[in-house]
Amino acid sequence: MSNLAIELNNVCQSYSHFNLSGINLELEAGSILGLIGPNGAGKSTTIRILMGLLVPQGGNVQVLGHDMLKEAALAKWKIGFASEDMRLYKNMSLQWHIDYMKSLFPGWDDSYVKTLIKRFDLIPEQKIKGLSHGQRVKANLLLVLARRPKLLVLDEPTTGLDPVARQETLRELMDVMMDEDRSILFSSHNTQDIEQLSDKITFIDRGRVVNSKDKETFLEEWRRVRIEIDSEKDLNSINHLVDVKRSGRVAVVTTNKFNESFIQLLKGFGASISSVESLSLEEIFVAEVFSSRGGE
Amino acid sequence: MNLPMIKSLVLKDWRLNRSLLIIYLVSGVVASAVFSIDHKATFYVGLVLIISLFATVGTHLVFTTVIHERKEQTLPFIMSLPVNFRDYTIAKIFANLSLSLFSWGFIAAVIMLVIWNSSNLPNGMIPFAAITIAELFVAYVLILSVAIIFESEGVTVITMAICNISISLFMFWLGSFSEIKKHLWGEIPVWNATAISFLLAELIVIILLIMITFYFQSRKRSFL
Repeated sequence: MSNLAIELNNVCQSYSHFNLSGINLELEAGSILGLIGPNGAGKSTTIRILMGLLVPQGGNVQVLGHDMLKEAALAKWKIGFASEDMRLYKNMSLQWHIDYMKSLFPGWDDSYVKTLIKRFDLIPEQKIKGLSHGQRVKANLLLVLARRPKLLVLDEPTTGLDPVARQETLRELMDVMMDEDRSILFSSHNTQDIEQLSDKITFIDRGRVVNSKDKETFLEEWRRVRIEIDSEKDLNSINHLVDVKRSGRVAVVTTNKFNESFIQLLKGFGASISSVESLSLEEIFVAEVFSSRGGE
Repeated sequence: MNLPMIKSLVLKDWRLNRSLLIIYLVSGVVASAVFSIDHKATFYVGLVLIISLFATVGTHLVFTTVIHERKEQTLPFIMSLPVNFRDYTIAKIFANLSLSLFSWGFIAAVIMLVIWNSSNLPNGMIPFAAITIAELFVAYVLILSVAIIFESEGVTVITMAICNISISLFMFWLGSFSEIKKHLWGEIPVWNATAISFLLAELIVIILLIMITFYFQSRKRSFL
C-alpha cells in the first residue's frame, strides 16, 4: 500500500489563457508539503483538482488511497480543506457553524474546539459578518482542525493576516504535525511561512512544476559565491550556474548544485573565492522561476 | 447517493431560510384576506399581491440558496464537505422544492379556503386558480434550473423577467379556453378534461426541467 497521502500523476488542465501541464506531485504521509508559486501560477487550480472540485482533462489523482475522480466524497471525510476564497454563512454565528460541522463529523473534538476558541480569541456567538478577515480565517481553520482530519489542504491560509494572526495559525499547524499520521499541503506565495513549516517544497510557475525537493536539499544546494577572476574568462561554460553578475574582475555566481567539487571547479577556472553565501528560500524561489522562464 | 449528507444539506437550507418562510406565510394570509374583501378594487389588489407573493417566494429562495451561495463564496465551504456534485444538486433541488411547496402549499390552501368560503368569490374559480398557481410553480422550477445550470445571476434575472411577463399572458390565454371560461363564474368547481390536461402538462414540464438540470449538472467538470 502506498505511503503517499497525495499523488498527482501527469495532471493537466487547459483554459483559454492558461494551461496546467504535466503536474506531478507527491506528499508522503506524516509530512508537510509547501506549494509556492507567483500569482496565477496554478496553485489553486492544482489544489482544486486534488480536492475533486475540478475534474482535470488528463492525469490521475489519488488522495489518501482514493481516486478523486470517483471517490472524492469518501476521501473528503478525512480531508480538512480551507481556501482563501472560502466564506462562511455571514448571517449565522460561529457557534451555528460549529454545531453544523459537529453533526456531520463523528470525530469532532469538542475539547479542542474550546482550546482553539481561546487561542484564536474568537466569540462563538458572534455572527460571521461581524468578524474581521483574520478572525474569519481563524474561524475557518477552527472548523477544519476540530474534526481532526488525516490530511489538511490549505490554499493560502495566511494571506491577508497580520503578523500575530499569522503566527497563531502557523503554531496550530505545527501542533497538527505532532501527530505523525497527519499530513499537510499548503500553498502560499509567502516563502517565510513555507520555510518555517514544510518538509518538502514544490515550486510551481505558469502551470508547470519547476522543481520539487526536500526543503533542506534546496537550502543546501543553492549558494551565491563571490569570486575574483580574469574578466576575459567566460563563466557561462561552467555547469549548474543559474546566474552570473560581473563587474570587472569581481563576479557573483549563483549555483543550484553547490558542493566542494563546485568550489574546485571555480578554482580550476582561475577564480579565487571571496565568500560563499546561503540563499533564502525566497531568493531560491525567484531564481528558480526566472531560470525556468529562460531569463525573460 | 449519500442520503445523510443530502438530508443535512437540505436541513441546512431550511434553517437558513426559516425567518423568510415565516414572513411569507404571514404575508400570504394577509394577501388572501385582502383578496376576499367584497370590493372589485380589493379583489384585484389581493390578486396582484398573491401573484407577486408566489413569484417573490420562488425568486427569493433561488437567490438565497443557489445564486448567493456562489456570489458570497460559501459554495467552497459546502463542497469541502464529504459530498459530490450530484448529491449537492439533489440537495439543492429538494431543499428548494420542499421550501417552496411548503410555503406555496400553505398560501394556495389559504386562497382555496377563502374562495370556497367567500360568497363574493365563485367556486368555479378554483380550477383556474389551481392551474395558475401550478404555472407559477413551473416558472419557479424553470428559474431554479437556470440558476443551478448557468450559475449566473444575470441569466437568472433575465429568466425571471421573462417568466414574470409570461404569467400574465398565460392567464389571458388560459381564460380564452371556452372549457375554462364558461365555468369561471359558476358556483361549483369543474375539473374537466381541459383543466386536468393543463395540470398534467405542467407536472410533465416540471419533471422534464428537473431531469434536464441533472443532465447538465452531470456534465460539469468544475464544481466551484
